Amino acid sequence: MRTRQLLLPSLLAAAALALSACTSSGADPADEQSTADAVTFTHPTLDDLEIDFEGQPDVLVMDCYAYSSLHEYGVEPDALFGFDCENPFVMGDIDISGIERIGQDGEIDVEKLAALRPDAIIGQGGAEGWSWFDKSVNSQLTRVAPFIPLPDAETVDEEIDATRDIAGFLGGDVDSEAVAQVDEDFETAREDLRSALEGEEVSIMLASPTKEMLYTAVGFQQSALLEEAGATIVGGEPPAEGNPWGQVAWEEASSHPADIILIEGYGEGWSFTADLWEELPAVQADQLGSWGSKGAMTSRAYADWLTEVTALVESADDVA
Amino acid sequence: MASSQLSPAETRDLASDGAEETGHRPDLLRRRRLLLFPLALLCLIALCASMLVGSRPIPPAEVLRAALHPDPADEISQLVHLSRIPRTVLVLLAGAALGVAGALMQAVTRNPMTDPGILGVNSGASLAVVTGLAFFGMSDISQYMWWSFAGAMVTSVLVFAIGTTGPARGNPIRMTLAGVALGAVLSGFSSAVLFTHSEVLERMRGWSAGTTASQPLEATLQIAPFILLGLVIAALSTRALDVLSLGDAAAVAMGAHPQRIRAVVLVAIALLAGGATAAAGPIGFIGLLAPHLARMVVGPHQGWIMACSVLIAPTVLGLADSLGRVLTAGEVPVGVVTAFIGAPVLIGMVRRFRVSEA
Repeated sequence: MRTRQLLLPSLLAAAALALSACTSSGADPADEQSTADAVTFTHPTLDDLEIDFEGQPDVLVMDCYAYSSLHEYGVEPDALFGFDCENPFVMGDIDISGIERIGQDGEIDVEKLAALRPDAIIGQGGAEGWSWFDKSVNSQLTRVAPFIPLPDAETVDEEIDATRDIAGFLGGDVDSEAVAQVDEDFETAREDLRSALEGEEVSIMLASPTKEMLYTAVGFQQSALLEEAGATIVGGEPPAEGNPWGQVAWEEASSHPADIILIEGYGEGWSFTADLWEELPAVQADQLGSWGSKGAMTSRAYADWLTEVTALVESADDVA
Repeated sequence: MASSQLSPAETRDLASDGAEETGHRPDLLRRRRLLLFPLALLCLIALCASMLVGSRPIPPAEVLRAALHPDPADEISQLVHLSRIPRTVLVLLAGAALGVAGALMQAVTRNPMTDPGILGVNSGASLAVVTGLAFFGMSDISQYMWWSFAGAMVTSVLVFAIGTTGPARGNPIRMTLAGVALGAVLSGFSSAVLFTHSEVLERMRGWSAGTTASQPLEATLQIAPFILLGLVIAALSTRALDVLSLGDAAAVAMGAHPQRIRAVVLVAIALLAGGATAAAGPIGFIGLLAPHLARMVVGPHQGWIMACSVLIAPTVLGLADSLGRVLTAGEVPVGVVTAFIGAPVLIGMVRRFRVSEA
């Protein structure tokens, strides 16, 4: 009887030991593989943002601003959403016709997103999600996949570098000869602009005119890039906090005299009329060019833009 | 007091209006006429403020000199002729149009809490502008005006058609409901388009807030004949509206044709509200506020309400616009300022009606 009483606990203890031994020495191979493949992404500009992935992200969903920047490094999305996907000023000559669209402008089809089972979603925003979604949509978004926000740096150079870090993490080829070449082109374009501005007093306004007022971009990265090359940037002072655009009432527009006005999204088909706009010397002299506060954050994009600005500076008269 | 009916005192006052002009109430008539002078003076002050106040401070003497002696080479002259004068003319025209349209709207629906926006005019104008921008390649501010005007007119006709046909036609509440319902549907369509055409939202942002900025004088003058025609129709409709305010049955008994009156008045509302919205974008509360203030001052006589609204509305609009020009570094659109003014006024009105109901 006593033997029987001891037998049962002994058997249970042996079974527990055996189970424990199996657990410690014979772990699930899939789990082991997963642990080995796990990667951690550290955001280049958001200090506290680290995202753990079970493996190298492969299935990617991006907004079009992200794709315009990451395309250069060969990072391709499985689906796109967001603003300006048809805007050639943002997308350049990137062909997006073969890429699935799961949202347009401010909306996204969360069911389609979930069906794709993406490894990561990349776009303009912050740790909490995409800039233009509210909290509830972002909560759904981040439950489907981790969100990698595009970087937000002080200068164009820093932002290009940070974007490249993200591209590298996502498997992009950031060390190719082509990338080295466009970096060189960017430097050359910067030098050319510096030479064109040397000894000249050229005032440039980066603007976005609207019916109610003129918005100007003093203090923006793009303004700083031109300023660094020797241009004088004019426009309304940016507000101390909040929306960074300077607001200039139309009556005050002529108080910020510019030789050249760069208009956001300016190009073929761009149209704007307002009596006081048309009286500005740069508009009358047709010394207008383009710029963009959003879009491809790449050396290629900025090399092309600076080349355009240089041509404009070289042909512009002093009208301010 | 039920909002759609006149109080006994107002009915007595209205009934006495016919007599007053034959000399029985000369004191009331004289008092009303005298009231027009301070209102006209206030309107003049508001228009002067519109000429003199701006984001760029210019001494009054300079403004006057520039206004009288245009010089394209002079910057001040340019500002005065390309900004201050067009805005002042727009304030006067759009203000008068909105004020009288509101008075007509309140009279025809016998509801003092309505304004042209309730008729769906703003929603119709906005949808037309959104459609033009999104699908018809409209890109220029000057094109907004005609699209907006067409949208306002079509909406007014639709509201009238829905509100005055079928069973229970002629019920003023029905037209109001038709306006509210259609306005909601049209706003829904606008939102649907804007949701997927962010560039349209960007381009119509200023217009949709309601602003007098960047509207060329020529464009305002193009819309002026429509507004003037609307004012003439309104002036000619005042007696008929007085009769209509007694109720359809009483109006019919007095030989009037309520449906015909409503149709004519609706044309005037469409011309006035459509014209004002086309020129300055949707500006709220002026059409609600001006007739109310006028009614407080002169009582329920439609002719006097309209005469006073013609002066009160540009006064409020002019002061709101001038205030918006100096509130921030850029400019606050007048539609936003009137909304800030209008909201407390509306709350005050609602409270006042509750008290009088009790």
